[in-house]
Amino acid sequence: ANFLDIGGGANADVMAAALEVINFDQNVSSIFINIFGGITRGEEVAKGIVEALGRVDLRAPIVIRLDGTNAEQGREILKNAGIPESKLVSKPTMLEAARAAVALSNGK
Amino acid sequence: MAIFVNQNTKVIVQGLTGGQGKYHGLRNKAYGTQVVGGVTPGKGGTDVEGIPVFNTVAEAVAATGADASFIAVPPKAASAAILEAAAAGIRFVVCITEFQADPETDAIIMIGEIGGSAEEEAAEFIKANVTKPMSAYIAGVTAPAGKKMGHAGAIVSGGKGTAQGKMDALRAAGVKVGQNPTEAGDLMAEIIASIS
Repeated sequence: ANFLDIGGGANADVMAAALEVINFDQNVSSIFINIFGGITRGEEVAKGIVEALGRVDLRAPIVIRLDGTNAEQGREILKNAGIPESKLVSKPTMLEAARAAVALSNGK
Repeated sequence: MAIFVNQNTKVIVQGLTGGQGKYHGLRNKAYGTQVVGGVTPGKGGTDVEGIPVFNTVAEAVAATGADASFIAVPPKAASAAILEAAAAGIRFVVCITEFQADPETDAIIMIGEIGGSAEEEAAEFIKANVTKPMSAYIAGVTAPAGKKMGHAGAIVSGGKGTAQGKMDALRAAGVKVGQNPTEAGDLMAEIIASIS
């Protein structure tokens, strides 16, 4: 697994840019986004993901665990964005999400 | 180890008028540190052996140009004190909070990461001084050696500062160490349940 730190307080632009960077790497088979936001805000992370999916054809599926500041808001945004489950799946805990990301990766 | 504070650093002491703040603040000053002010809400305008006391960190910084803070306040006030210092532009904060001495603290959970030797030093301190049950998590178990991890740049270098080394040191000191943050939380929940 490789690791990308979006940094504290990341906004939608940063999140979208991070996904684009990851997408350049042909070796990526699944993307695990693990957020427990303190100063990082859930709705910004969610908006960034939605934006990235609109800008770029992300090859790898995303598993997201979104918790912390404004997480409920972020999860609502993702739910209402109409993203197919083949592209994005949300899990409530870090361990469940990690396992799901690994399973998706192994399935490829 | 990086040097954060030298003879030119201007230090304020948050909690200078309290027992610990005054004791350590004055010792620091006697050693040669530029202790330029203290912060205690409500005691602005007074002084501790000539060191001016301010009501807020922002006022202290404006008056003294301080760029580092030593925090000696009760545990409940510690996080607010750190945030206040950060908001006022203080670039280096040292926070000594007496969790062992605080009668309202039943157990302590500690989060560490690869790099440096702070966690190993903590393990020594815990062995000698801490009687309260502890759990811990050390980030970076799978970090490749020599690679800076995360926006704070934690790194395992020259074989030193590994997560395993820190986990071993803490376990030897009686701390229950989890393999991931969730497990550390579960261990703490078990500790609290067992002492309730």
